[in-house]
Amino acid sequence: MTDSEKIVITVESDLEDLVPEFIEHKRENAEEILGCLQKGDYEKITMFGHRMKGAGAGYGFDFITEMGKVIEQGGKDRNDEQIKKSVDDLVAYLGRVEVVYE
Amino acid sequence: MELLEFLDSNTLDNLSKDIADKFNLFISKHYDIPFTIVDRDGKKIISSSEKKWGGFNLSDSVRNDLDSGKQYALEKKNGSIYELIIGLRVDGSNKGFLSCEIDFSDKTFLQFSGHSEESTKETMVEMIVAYVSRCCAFFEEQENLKKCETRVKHSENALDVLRDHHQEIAVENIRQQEELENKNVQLQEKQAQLEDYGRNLEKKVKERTKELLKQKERAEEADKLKSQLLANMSHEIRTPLNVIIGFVDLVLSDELSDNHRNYLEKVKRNGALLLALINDILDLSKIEANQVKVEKIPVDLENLCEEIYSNMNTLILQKGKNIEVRKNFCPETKNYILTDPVRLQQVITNLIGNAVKFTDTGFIELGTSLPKGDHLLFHVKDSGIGIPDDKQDMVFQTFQQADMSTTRKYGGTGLGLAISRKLVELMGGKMWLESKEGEGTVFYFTHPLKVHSSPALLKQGNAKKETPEKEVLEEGVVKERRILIAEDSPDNQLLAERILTKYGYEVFLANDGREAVKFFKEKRAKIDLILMDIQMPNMGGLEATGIIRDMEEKKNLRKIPIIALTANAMKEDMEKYLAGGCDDFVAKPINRKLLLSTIKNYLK
Repeated sequence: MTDSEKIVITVESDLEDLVPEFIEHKRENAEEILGCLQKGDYEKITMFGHRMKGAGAGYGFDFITEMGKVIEQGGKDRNDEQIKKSVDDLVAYLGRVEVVYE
Repeated sequence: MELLEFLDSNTLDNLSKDIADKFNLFISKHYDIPFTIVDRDGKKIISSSEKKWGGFNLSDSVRNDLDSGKQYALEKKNGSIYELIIGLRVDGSNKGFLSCEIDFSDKTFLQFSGHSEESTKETMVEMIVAYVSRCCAFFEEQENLKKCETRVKHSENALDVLRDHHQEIAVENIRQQEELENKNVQLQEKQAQLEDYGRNLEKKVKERTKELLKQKERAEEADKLKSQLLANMSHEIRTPLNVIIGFVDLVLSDELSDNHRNYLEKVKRNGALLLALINDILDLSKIEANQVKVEKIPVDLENLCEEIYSNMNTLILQKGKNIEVRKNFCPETKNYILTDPVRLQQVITNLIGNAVKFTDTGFIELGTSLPKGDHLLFHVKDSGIGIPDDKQDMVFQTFQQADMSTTRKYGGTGLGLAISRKLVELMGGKMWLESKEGEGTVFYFTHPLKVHSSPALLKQGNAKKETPEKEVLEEGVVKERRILIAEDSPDNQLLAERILTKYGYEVFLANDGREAVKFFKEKRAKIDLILMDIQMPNMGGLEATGIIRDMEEKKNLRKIPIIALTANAMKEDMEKYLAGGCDDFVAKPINRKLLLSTIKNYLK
């Protein structure tokens, strides 16, 4: 799998109107986390991670739940490198994801 | 006697004197003392120094006479001269003898008799022998006296010996005493040594105990970590599995080709089996790590049994089987008993699940009885395939079913009975089975019958389901159910709202615990249930739940059902939420079916 390949995610059609907003939120979250990282606000980073963890798979995005866990732990550990890497992975994932509604 | 008749006493005395003169001096001596017997003229007759018995020239006839016990012998020497030999006897044996020559023609003798020479001779001999005998008796006496003296002397010696002995004993006593003292000292040394060992041992035991305690702590810590790991792992496995099952469920609710439906149902069934297996492994590992604690709260047993009975009917309907469902409860079932309702239900449900699995026709019966005063006996009886005799023990072991083909044909994890038996034992009972192949099986288990007399103290476990129903009755209207979602994540707010509104619920939102409490305070009547996220900023879900429960208590309000939403799915966490006032919990990320069924439980 190369970076340019799409990742196809199937989501229930009744969530169709929610998903684009959800993905957009995650992009914003990624920016916010990087902002927090500059300010050293790890508490907020932990919170963002926790929310991602609790929401991702509910929408069908297990990867986002996984990233949420790593970011939450990174925030707790104040591990800048881990946080930054996870955010990069998240942004890359969001760029490649293609949602199919069924 | 004849002699006495013709000898007057004077003559006899003179005669005696005469003979005495001849012997007296010498014979009065002890034989051992050298003596010589001499005749009247001083002529030597015999000397003891010759010490001869045989050296003495005795004729054969004399010797024979003496040897055969005669006291004397008389031997003719020359004319009227005879030699008289007298045995000197002591204790009946000859010790020596004396001899003297007697001239029987001697006028001295003849004067006595006037009779013949021969008769005078015999009388004379007899007299001499009698005299010698008397002398011998005297000697014998002397001899005895002497022996006495010797004995006395010996006794004196013995006394000396005794005295010596006594002294020896005294010396020995002192020696023994010294030895004893030595031994005593040695003993004291040994005792001191022992005490020292004792102290050392005590010290060593203390050290070892400390070490063991440390090891125990480490082992317990490792056990706890293992349990934690298992719990986490099961959560990690459960989350994606739930997503898989959830999605399959959703797909199955759409229109599908028969082929696709068939495949997806297989996926769903296997997913569910895998989920059950994970749950069972988690359960079993916790029981084995002694982490499962059974509760003892008052439970309306009849209510519980009826509920299980009703579920049993539903299960059989679902399976499409034509089985008669029976119940057979004893009067004691009407009591409130102290038990762990969740675990008791788990055990009975497992037994019923097995019965339904292995029974195609006939009946299944759930019943109770009271064979002994202090234990209720539960039974689940079926008319199913039964278990062969040699497999009956096996079914209680982990991962064992009666037959490997059973798993393929009937499914199941093979852990259910092992878990059930352990739970029954934890609750203070025993579990066993009776079965006949082809006829059916009865599973029995006992449960201590501890009756609780005050139902007023019942925990919410039994009471919770009454709440919404009562509310409906009291308010008199059946209304649209309204739910407050306290959740800080906008994504989950939206998701929960979407799911709930789709199923006809009216939804209110609170962004954190504080908002939830505020909403409850102001608009309590507007909501029927709260979905409470646990981890929220400003005020967490547990804190908010605590405040709400306090308010209800103060104002004597009916308790509103609160379902915890949580991304922490470990059992310890769940127990914490329940203890904190939540009625139930749903793990995040949200599984729509689980969320809906849980809410439905509280809003019938």
